[in-house]
Amino acid sequence: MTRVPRGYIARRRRTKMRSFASNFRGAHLRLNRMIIQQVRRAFVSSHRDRGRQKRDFRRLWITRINAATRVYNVFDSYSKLIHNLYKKELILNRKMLAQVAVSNPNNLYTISNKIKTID
Amino acid sequence: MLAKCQVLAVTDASFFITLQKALAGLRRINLDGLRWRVFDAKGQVLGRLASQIAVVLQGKDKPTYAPHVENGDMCVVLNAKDISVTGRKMTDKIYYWHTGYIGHLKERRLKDQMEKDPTEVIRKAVLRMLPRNRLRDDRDRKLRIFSGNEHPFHDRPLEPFVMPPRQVREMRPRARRALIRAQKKEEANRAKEEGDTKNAKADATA
Repeated sequence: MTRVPRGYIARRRRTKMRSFASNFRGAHLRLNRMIIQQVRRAFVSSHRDRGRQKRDFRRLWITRINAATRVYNVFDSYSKLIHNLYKKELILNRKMLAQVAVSNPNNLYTISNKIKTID
Repeated sequence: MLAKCQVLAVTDASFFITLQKALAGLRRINLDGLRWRVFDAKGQVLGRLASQIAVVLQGKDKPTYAPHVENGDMCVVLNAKDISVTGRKMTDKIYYWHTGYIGHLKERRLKDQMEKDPTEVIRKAVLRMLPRNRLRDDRDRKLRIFSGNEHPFHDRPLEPFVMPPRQVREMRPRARRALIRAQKKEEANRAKEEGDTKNAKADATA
């Protein structure tokens, strides 16, 4: 049989992976075998954490809203604030509430007043 | 500073040690946009106080909380020796630790720990309530506990921490009956003492 080299197919595949590993550390960005492993792990983490991200941020917003309601004496706690929001059918989500709490605490007061007056 | 320490050493050796511990590592703590919150542990229940301290130490009472950034306030705890526990925990709560050598599980009761170093009781309680991550050591550095009322932070802007109101559960019937019996006995003793003193006075005058 004549000699048939494999050509550039494998190399192309590996170079594609290399671009993802361009900011890895040490041998993990230089050696092909390590690149394959590490890039696969990176993709898995990325996929899993896209779901996690939604959870994590909601957690953070809730903690911040909790702190803000206690600091500014709007309501006694996060739970009471959310309960009252739902009762008055104000559909502000937690992301917005957290942003409001951090940047514009005065608007928290206007929200709470709105809740207390609509009745 | 050294002279002041020497003077204090004469009065109370254990306070001197806590003073050293109190001022240690203050330089390592980064920002001083932090508040200095003072907790008075006198008469407080151990775990309930510790959970409040842990919340403040993590910075979870600030709307700018972020889990990767250490932004808790400095916590100064006073009167650690006057901390109280419910039930029989004073004699029955045991702190266990293992030294790593086989068979060396050590234990110490709360009573003995209070005699040895009352600040450790609160410190253990708070540290074990903090999340076990890389920020835990930094948070430990922000916690300063003192047995008594004196502390070296008088020149800092201190804010006393007001414990949130608490619903104390009403006493169980047996405990309440025991309490009433004890009260009645004390009243009887007091009445008897007054009677004795009156009789003594009457005898003296007569």
